[in-house]
Amino acid sequence: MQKHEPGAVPPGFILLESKSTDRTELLFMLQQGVYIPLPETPVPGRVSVTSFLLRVLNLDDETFRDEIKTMMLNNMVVDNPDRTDLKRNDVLIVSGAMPGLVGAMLRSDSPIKVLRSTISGENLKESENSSLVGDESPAFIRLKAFNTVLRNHMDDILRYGVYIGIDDEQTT
Amino acid sequence: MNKLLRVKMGKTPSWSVEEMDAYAGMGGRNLTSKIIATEVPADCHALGPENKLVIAPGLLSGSAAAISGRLSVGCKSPLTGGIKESNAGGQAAQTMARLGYGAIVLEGEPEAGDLFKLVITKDEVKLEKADDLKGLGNYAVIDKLRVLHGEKAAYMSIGQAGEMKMASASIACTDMELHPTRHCGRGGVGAVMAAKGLKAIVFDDEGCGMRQPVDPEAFKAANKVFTKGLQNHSVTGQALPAYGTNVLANIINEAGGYPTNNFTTGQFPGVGRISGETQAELEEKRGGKATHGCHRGCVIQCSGIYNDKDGKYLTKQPEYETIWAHGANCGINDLDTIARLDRMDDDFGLDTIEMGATIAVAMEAGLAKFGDGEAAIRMVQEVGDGTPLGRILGAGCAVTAKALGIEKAPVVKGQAMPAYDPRPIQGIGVTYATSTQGADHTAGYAIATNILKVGGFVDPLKPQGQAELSRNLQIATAAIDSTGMCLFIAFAVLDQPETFQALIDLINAFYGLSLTADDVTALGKSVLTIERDFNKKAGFTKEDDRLPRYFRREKLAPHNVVFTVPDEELDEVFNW
Ligand code: SF4
Repeated sequence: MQKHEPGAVPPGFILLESKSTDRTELLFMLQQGVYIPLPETPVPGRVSVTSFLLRVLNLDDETFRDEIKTMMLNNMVVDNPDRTDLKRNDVLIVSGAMPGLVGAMLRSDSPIKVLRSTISGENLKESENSSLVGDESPAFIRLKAFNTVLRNHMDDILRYGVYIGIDDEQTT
Repeated sequence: MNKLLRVKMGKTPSWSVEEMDAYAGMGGRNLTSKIIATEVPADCHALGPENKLVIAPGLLSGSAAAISGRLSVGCKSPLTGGIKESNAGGQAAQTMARLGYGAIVLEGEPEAGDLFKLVITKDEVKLEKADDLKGLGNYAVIDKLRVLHGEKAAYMSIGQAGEMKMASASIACTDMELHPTRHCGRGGVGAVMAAKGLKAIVFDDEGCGMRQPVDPEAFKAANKVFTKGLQNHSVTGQALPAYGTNVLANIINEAGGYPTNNFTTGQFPGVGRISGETQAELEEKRGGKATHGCHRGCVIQCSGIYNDKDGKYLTKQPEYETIWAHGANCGINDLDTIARLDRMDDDFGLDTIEMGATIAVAMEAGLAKFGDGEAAIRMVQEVGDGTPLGRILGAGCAVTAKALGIEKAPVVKGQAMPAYDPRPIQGIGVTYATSTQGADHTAGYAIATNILKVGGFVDPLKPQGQAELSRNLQIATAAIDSTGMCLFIAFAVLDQPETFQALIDLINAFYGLSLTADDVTALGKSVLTIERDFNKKAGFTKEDDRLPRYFRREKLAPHNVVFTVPDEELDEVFNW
């Protein structure tokens, strides 16, 4: 994985800094998804959902388990974030607990997860959840934050700056 | 709540106050369904004199129990042809319970053209002619009534859609600000109220105190634990108060289950423009409120106030279902347009889910383009005006699809599906298909399966049949619907055993009972059994417990899946 140098904006992206952007616009962008470079890890090429979110949301493990109740990766529910690895260009959704019967189904490892088994991430094959090794282009995750995570962690997500795609910027 | 008010419409309308007798100890959905099943011939016409409209507060309504002010309205539904319980917040349940009424039963048929209002105070009941309210929308009705009956009364009313006996007509209940914004929306209950010749009910509880528990100390203690449980939980203490139910929009969209353009795809590109997070920001910017209760005593406060661009009140915070129905399902991504449609629905007295689904079908039929907000507004206006097209649209999604030659009407038992596509989220499809109420997301809402131990403990490590789970959820929901508690308590009850225990303790302390979780389960089962029996007598068979066939044929993007739960599994849901 190529190391991403701060300030070096890859082609097709814009660096977004919170100081210069209206709060309403920021809220909208964070729901649409912002791009965050994947960090270097002790095990090259393996970044779990948990380790990524602990860093980006500035959380310790206990608060993470308390606050983060709903995660989706590429439209599939993440039931085991410790054992789900990220790959480049993944779309990761992070949220607090959601209301409603379907909100309860979508919770990670929900006791009623059988009711949404069609979209459970644990049904993904290992190979679909591959590593980050072997590609020299910058690796980004598109992160979307909803619900209480958006309210409580907007500044955490933005603190090192995030990127948005040029196309996304045009739609805002 | 030991009185039953029976209002008999006819040549000379009359009323009588009776003891609750055989219905004593019942409340909410349990009571409305019991009275309908006992007193209404299942094969009658929903708008005929044999049908009845039953209004009942919950078991704990009118007491100091937190969030206990939900009202149930029951009848044979003109939309589904089966039994109906339609549930709303607002102030009506609390005031009716304090006035001592466990139920109001409207029966018979008025002389053609007669329209009445029912006024209930501590000392008297009056049935008065209401010709001055004829043809008015709910907002204008309340403006007139509040001048006569004051700011402290609670009101129920029907708008023009009810008077025209449309199958998607609702009954409005006023909120704390006396706006007619809380609706018994589903199933056409407003048309049945009109068929009984009643335009409005006034509950004036001046001089009535709070209902008192048998064991005040135990009640107070249980209420404290219950309230704390709701406030501490992340859904009921944070997500719902901050964003309301529309916080679901983004996540259901990500799950690919956000029905868009009449259920043709599962993701709406404009979702960020109409999400709960965006809505809350806009409401606060315009001086409205993102956190507000629909009735006094609600400690969750999932509602809000939506102001227009000039900062003037437009409507209450439209809910997730409304924003989806008039938004994504019609391809509309503008919150102001959706809020206008919500206001129109509230004023004409229309179910927002049914109307949104109906307009989407009309758009598919080519009456307008998906995304055309002004066309959607024009269509709802036609409903309110009662034009020929408006009459068809007001009859609901299934009738509109038939009239316009469209196969894809997303309905079960004639009632439009709410905001979750059952192809990626198959479990909700099981509930849509098998609910006694027609397609209904709240039928299996109570997620307290493990704690209630309904139908046995659900081991999270073992895959369990969707039928069994849906059954358990429907049982738990029917029980909560009978207490007068808002269903949103279910989240805290699911995760916090002490909160569930506090709920049972509240009922026990109030009535001097010693109910257990098993009794609560038995209550839920008995409600569903009564409702299933009624529907059977009304002509429903297992073939009615099905989704429309195209859900098994047409793949839904982005997951490209169809509904695959076998019919045999659906038939197992009520096989207990
Ligand atoms: S949580 Fe929402 S729907 Fe339930 S009683 Fe409170 S305001 Fe009404």
